[in-house]
Amino acid sequence: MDNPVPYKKISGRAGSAIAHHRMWMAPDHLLVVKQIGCSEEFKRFYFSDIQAVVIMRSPRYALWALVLPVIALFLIGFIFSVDHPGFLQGLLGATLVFWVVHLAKGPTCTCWIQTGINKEKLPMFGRVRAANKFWLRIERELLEVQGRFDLDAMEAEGTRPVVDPKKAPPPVPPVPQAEVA
Amino acid sequence: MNRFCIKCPTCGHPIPAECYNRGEAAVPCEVCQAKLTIHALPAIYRSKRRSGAAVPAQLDDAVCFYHADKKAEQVCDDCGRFLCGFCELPFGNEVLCASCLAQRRKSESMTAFQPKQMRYDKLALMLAVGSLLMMVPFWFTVVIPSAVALAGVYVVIRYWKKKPALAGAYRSRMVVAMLLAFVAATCSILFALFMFREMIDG
Repeated sequence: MDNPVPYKKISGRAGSAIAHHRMWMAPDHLLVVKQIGCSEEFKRFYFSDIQAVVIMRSPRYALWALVLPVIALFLIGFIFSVDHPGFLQGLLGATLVFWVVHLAKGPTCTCWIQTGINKEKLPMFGRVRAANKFWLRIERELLEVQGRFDLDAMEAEGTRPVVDPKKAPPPVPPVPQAEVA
Repeated sequence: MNRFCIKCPTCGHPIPAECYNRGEAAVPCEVCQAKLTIHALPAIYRSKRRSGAAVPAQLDDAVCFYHADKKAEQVCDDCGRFLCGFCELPFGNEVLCASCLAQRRKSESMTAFQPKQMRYDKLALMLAVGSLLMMVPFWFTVVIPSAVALAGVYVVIRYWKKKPALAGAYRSRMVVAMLLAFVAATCSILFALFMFREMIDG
């Protein structure tokens, strides 16, 4: 029996009750847990393999910030035109609560973690604030394992011509020496 | 253009390296204008030995366990076999051979290598709640809700000790599932008895 790996929780659940994602951190890797029904799938990203964390701002924030007040305005209009507006008032209240919570949580984003072989989407970090917090939590561990990113080293390595041994010309056969009489 | 450049997730256009590691600031992609924050790490440009880079063995060299013509460069941390560049599989701080890795993935005790696991606590809870819900459409029969509830009880008893990794509140879920399953089974049987008595009386 091996020693259990000490995992620290990095994110809460993201997704529905039936299918959701979570992230945990071990001393040498990140673990993404995808749960579907009663089954859990694991993906491990070792600190030495992580090449980048990419955060892309998404337009969802602006969209919902505009759509929710429009819905609220429609509901206000309906409230004044019906006799028993109890249900609509509740709906209006819920819409306004959603709007305020959405604004308070800040801009939305899509986050990826990139390794040498894949780019994994991290649905648990749907807000820029959460994604930045995630990066701050793992940055120290990643720097300890990999060291600091050096732009000059990347430029030197990335612009160096690569010779594919399969495409290289065949070696020149040795020329037989002429016998001296 | 640097061949290690990170590509924009939307359009695939390479983002210049000058735009990386600028803190929380977002940089727009030149093509699709998507605002990106890129935290890059040295693993992008550090050359890792690709598989297929095994060195041919010379006369005095130790050779790989699996490839007799390749020079041994690593030792498997599990079984101690000599491995060439083809066969070494770095796993965190360990180097394993393919057979040891496959063995570890199959082993239930090696939680660090498991690709997936079953959450029996959630299964038991689903069965228990399902049996309660089934009492509504299947009120006329005692068999179906009771069978589902008993299946939940079986899962609780059978997997009580098999607590998986990262399963917080495993036992409490099991207890709740057991209680719900008993309630469902009891209610179902009592309802069936009540109906039977009504039938005989009426």
